[in-house]
This record gives sequence, structure tokens and C-alpha cells, in this order.
Amino acid sequence: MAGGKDIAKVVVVGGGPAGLACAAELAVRGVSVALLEKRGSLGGRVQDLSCKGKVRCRQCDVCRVHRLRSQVLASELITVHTRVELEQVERNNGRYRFDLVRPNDAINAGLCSRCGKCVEACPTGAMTKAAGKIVLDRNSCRSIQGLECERCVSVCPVGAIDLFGEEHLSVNGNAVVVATGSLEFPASEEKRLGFGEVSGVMTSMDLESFLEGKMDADLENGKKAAFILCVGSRSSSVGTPKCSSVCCKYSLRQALTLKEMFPKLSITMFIMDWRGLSDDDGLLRELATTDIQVVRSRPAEIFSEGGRPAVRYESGNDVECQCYDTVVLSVGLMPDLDDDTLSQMAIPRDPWGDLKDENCADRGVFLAGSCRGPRDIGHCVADGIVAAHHAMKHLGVDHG
Amino acid sequence: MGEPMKAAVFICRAHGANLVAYRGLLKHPRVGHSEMLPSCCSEEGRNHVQLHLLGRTTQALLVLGCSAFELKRYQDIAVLAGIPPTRVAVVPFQLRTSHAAELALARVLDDREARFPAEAHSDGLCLIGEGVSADAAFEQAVAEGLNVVRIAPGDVDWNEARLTGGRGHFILEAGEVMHHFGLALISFDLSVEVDRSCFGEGDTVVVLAGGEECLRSFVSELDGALSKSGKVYAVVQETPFSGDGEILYQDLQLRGVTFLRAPDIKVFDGSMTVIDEHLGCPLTIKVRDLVTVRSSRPGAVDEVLKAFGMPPSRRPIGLVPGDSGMPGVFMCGSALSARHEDDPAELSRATVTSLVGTIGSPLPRIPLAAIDTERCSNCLTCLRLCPYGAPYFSEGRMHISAERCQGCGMCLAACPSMAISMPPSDLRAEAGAIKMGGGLK
Repeated sequence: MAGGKDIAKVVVVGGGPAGLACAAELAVRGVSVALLEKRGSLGGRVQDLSCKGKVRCRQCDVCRVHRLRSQVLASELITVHTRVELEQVERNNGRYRFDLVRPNDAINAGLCSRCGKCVEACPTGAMTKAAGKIVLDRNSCRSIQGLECERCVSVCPVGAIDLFGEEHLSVNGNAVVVATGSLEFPASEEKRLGFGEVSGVMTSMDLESFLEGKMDADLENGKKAAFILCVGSRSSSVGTPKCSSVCCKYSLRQALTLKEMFPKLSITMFIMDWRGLSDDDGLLRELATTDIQVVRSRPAEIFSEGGRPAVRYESGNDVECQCYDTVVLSVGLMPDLDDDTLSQMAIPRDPWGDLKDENCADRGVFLAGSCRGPRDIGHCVADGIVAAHHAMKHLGVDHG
Repeated sequence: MGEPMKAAVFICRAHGANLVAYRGLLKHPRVGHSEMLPSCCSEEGRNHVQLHLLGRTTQALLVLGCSAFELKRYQDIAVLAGIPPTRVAVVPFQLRTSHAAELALARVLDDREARFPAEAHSDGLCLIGEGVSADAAFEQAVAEGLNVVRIAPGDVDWNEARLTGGRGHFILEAGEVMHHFGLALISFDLSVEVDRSCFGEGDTVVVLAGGEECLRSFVSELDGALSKSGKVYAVVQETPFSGDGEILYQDLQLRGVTFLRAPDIKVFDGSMTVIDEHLGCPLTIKVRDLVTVRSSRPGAVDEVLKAFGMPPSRRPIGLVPGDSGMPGVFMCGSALSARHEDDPAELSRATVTSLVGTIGSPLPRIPLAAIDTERCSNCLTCLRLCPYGAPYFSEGRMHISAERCQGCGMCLAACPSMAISMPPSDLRAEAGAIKMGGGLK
């Protein structure tokens, strides 16, 4: 263990804002932490988000997570395990043991001669050659998805490919902080909004990529854009009755940022209510100074008209139809119901799928972040810090 | 001060990308000595550094490309040569950029000595405020074992109070009493008031004039109204039920509450007219009970903020929970936070908890923004923009207060004449990391 001292260890599951804040806080107090993360890098969903205050800070809190990440990576008390999948959790004498699996790199870079034969052989294009290196996209590899293939393995002249190599490791802890986060609502499930069918309809996460400069979109001066809020939020019909509490705030920031980039872009926002914003919050006041149009209506459907998305919505007693160049669906958050970690740890859920902390604290399990219900980055960070405090208290009880 | 302080720079893993990244730094005017270490992070390497430090006249030590774990060892070596641990930094190999190295150099060379002797450093926390958030903060501070003093806003005549010193050494003189503390936490909640008026026969109308802080009273008023006879109307401007509150909102609607979204209402002799934004036509309700739930900001908040030299509109600025922008002063509670988190008490607990790491540590040393007065056109953009109130205008020129500047880089981005400079400009992640003492240990 770091420092050679026997310091109680806390396992933090999830490396998003809450998990990072919790780990950082614990490390500041001298508690060693193991941070488990499913993805390849830390930061959770924030990694895909852009700074929305390029000229003036709009407190989107994205930088806060970047800062926490650097803090966590530099701390010697925190061991970070990325790309790990959980095999099982065991509890013994108040200690938790997490057995983890981490898939190895499919391509052994030491052996690989970069001949590119596997790239030619791959039927799905999962193997690509980028910057002189062969990379495998695990999600589109047929063999990893359980289908028969392994063509790359047979074609490789040097035997550098091992698709199923994995590494087992186990991590122990006296307390567990669960910060597994939530999922964003898959916009294609809301069929009437035409995501994936009508061109020009994108999700707010796609817009984030656009703002980061990673994706193209039909957004520039003189074009028309619409935001549709509460997609996968406040709608029982698709199983997400709660308000996501974030999409008003981030959509408004996105719209204001777009307006700043393209002053002549016309923007319409279809909203139900403004939630989580107060009058003295700068966002609504800033909105009032722009010519962004706000329509209080929940659009009925989006269909393609002449290759452009058209929105049909109710306005007063009439039904109106408007064409746009781009329609952004502001997706909400929904609980991750299939997460194996949570079922293994037997954490109860409320009727809407969010985790409840009943009976958790006694056995050294603490919850933090948006797995407890939809919340924004700042709230998740605060949550993580509080969970760190609870975990410290729990360790204090156990180890005097 | 005569000769400016200089740093000794050592480079570990002196090859490839490391050399490319750090080469520029070696010519820096404030680098007194630079050297590649033949073997890094080893006894031999450390002896090498020690030998140099004992013989030369550099006053700070920077080791580049090393492992972050080594910092403590280098600090021990430096102490032997009379260099305080705060003047030693390691740029870990993971952060291999010239920018990070420059920021670290700025950090170790920072001449801003604390304005008060080390023995005056106080680890006390002064909690000023009242309300649920302040109670929760006090409870948490006690649970964390902090040396906390609580001052109720009524105890002090804030117009007479005088605050001096800075982070780690605040002195608040208020009449006869003098408080000495290291950090201050200001916590106020919006106070919620319920007005009731009764007219003869009819329905119950509950009007909400406020944000999420009123939610609890609002819901309990509606609950009470539902148990009586007659219809129940809730008049709001925006429904304040975010997140989990949506469930509550739907439940109230199912139980028979009619929500009306109306910006203004007119009550005349027991009958009320509202124009619902959605219906678009006026609706007349015969009112039996009219209940108004509203919130107001306690007057003491402005007085306390004024005593701390902050404008009344000051809000926490993110980055660290409750960070007020003034070093050493933090704020929480619904009156000071623009975000109405559904649980301000929880937020104030988080703020207090995060203070534990700050309270005993020395002043953070950070890169500062500097104004090139020849380019500056005195447009005051930075003055309006800065969340920390660092730029000020005096004697016909702009200045940036070294005390207040936090190196966030916002003015740098906004300055139309590009007159503000700071160590290079990709500040988003790295400056944050260094500011927290995280990226560079």
C-alpha cells in the first residue's frame, strides 16, 4: 500500500464528477482510494461535454471536472483502474473484495509489424490504421460481440492479435462509494421525434461534439435551429417520469453559446417549464437580451420535409408546422437499470429506478451522484464530497 | 527586494518529448541553474541535486519529468539547504508540457510572501449566518473536528465592524470583541413567509412567489388545502419542481390541484382573475382562502457581504464548493447560491467538508494575470468580467490585484486589445490542476 502505512481503503465505483470529487476529497484526508472506471479514461460523461463559456463563464462546471481529474491522477493515494468490468463483489468481515476483469490490448504493439493485413481482413471495419498504429474498436468487432469471425487472428503473420486476452485483478476496501452515474436517454426511443430517421435531427450530446469542433452540423449564420427540451424527461410514456433537472440548464447554455458563435443563427426553444433556474440566475437574464425565441409547447412530431426536419407543434388552439435546418433534442438522464455492480451489491431502487440509500450506510456502502436521481455536475461534486465524509466516518468507527 | 529569486531546474528522463517540452524553460531568465539528471528518482539523482543545492545560491527547486511520488524526498533535501518546502515542485512525467513547467516555475518563484508571520496563521473557521444551511454547516464543522466559531448576524453591528488581514489571518473587529480566524464561511437562507387571507365561500388558491426554497411550505399548504372542501388552485410563474420533484408535481395534479401559470393575479372582493399563459383567456375563481408563499433575502446578508468588501450580488463561482472568489471566504445557503439545489443543507455540508483540506494548508501560489499598459485601452472589460474582482482602475491605468487574481484566465480570453498575459493560454484544465496543487505536487 502507498506509503507503507496500513490505511483503510475506500473503493469508489465510477469515475464521473461524483466519484472523482469523492476520491480527491478522501485522498486529501490521507485515505487511500481505489477508483474503478468502466471507460478508458476518467471524467464520465463530462469528457464529451464542451466548455460553454468561451467568452463569459456560464458556470457549466465542466472545467471543474477536468480539475478534479488532474488532482486525482496526480494523487499518490489514489489507484485508478480504468477499463475494468466487475466480475463479483464479496463481503467478508466488513471488508469488500471486488474481483475485476480488464481486457488486454487486443493487438500486441511489440509484435505487430503494422502490415495492415488484419485491416483488410476485417469484415466490419473494426480494425483501423491510425497514425501508423493498428487500433481495434471493440464495439464493432464481431468476435468480441460473440459472433464467429477471428479472421484477423488467422491472417496475422506475426501472431500479434489476441482478442480475448484479459487480466484479473482484485481490489479490497473497508467502505464502498457507489457513483455509477446515469445514462442519457436514447433519443431514438422517442419515435415521434424522428431521431436517426430525419436528417438534421441531433441530440444535445451531438451538439456538444459540434461545439468541441469534433463534428459537423448545419449550424451557421442565417440558418434556423430549434431546441426541443424534455426529451426523455417528464414523460411517463417512455418510462422517464422524473424531470432530468439538467436539460433546461445545459440547453440554455448551449443555445447562448451558439448565439455567441453565430449571431445571425435563428434559434427557437420548445420548452415545458424552466426548471432549476431562478430569476437571479444569469442564464434567464441573458436569454432575455438575445433574440432566441421561446415557445411553450411540447412538439407532437418531427418529420422530413424536403430533406429538412419539420416540427409540428401546438400553439394556442392551432397546430403549427415549422421547418428548421437543425433540430436539437435535449435528452434527459435515466437510471442505468442493467448495471451489474448495483445488483450484486443489493442496493435498493425507488420505483423510478434511482438508487436509495436505505440500509446502505450501516454496511459501509455510500451513494453519490446521479445514480441517486438526476442532478447536475455541481450537485454531483457536492454529493461526492459528502459521501467522502460519510465514508471517513464509517472508517473511523471501524478502525478507531 | 534586490536580486530576484532564481530556481534550479533538473530534468529527469531527459530524452525525447521531455527535452522538447522543457527546452524553452532552460533559457528562462529566472532559472539560475539547469541540468539533466543522469539517473532519475534514485539515490544517485538525489545526491546530485543535494550537492548542487548546498553549493549554489538558487532559492527554489523544480524537478521536471519526475514521478510525483518523489516530491517529499526533494523537499527533505531542500530543507537541508534552507529552501522551504513550498519552493519545491515536481512536474510529473504524465503532465509533460512546457506550459505546466512554466506554471510550476511561476509557483515556486512566487515572491508573494504571506503578509503575516507563520505563527499568526489561524486554523479557525468563522461561520457567520443563520438558517438551516448555517445549522447544517455548523454541525458538519463540529463533526469534522474543525475549530469553529459561530457568529449570529445579530451579534455584530456590521456597519461598525472592520475586517483586516487575509486568508489564514482574518481579524474581525466588532465593537469590544475581536475575532481571529483563518477562513470565513457566510451562510444565509432565504426566509420563507406564508400570508393567509380569508374571504367567504369558494375555492382555495395557493400562490407561489419564489423559487425552490419555498417548495416545502408550498406543498404543505396545498396538502392542507386538499383536506378541505372546494377546489384547489396553485398559481405559479414557473413550476419549481426540478429533478425528483416532478413526482411530487404529478402527484399533486392527480390529487386534484389545478396548476395555473400566471404572471399576475388580480383579487377583488373574494373573486380572483388570472390569465393562464397556456389557456390564454382570463379565468375567474371565487376565493375562500388565499395563501401566498413568498421568500425574501434576509437584510443582514448585504451588511455582512459589505463588511467583507464584496458586492451584494456576489455568488459562489464554482470550482471549489462555495468559493466566493475572495481568498479564504466561502459562502453557502440558498440566499447566496444562485442554484437552488433541492437540498441547500447538503450543499453547505459539502462546502464545510471540502474546507478541511484547505484550512491548515499554506496560501496557494498561482500564476497571475499581468496587464501590458501600452496595449491596454482602458475599456474595463476585465473589470466587469472578473469573478474575483481583481482588476482595478487607478491613476488612469488598469491594474490587476495580485492578492485577488486567481489565474483563471477569463480576462485573458476576453481582453479586446490582448493586453493581458499569463503563462501560456491553454488554461482550462492545467491551470485548474495547478491551482489546486493537484497537477503539480
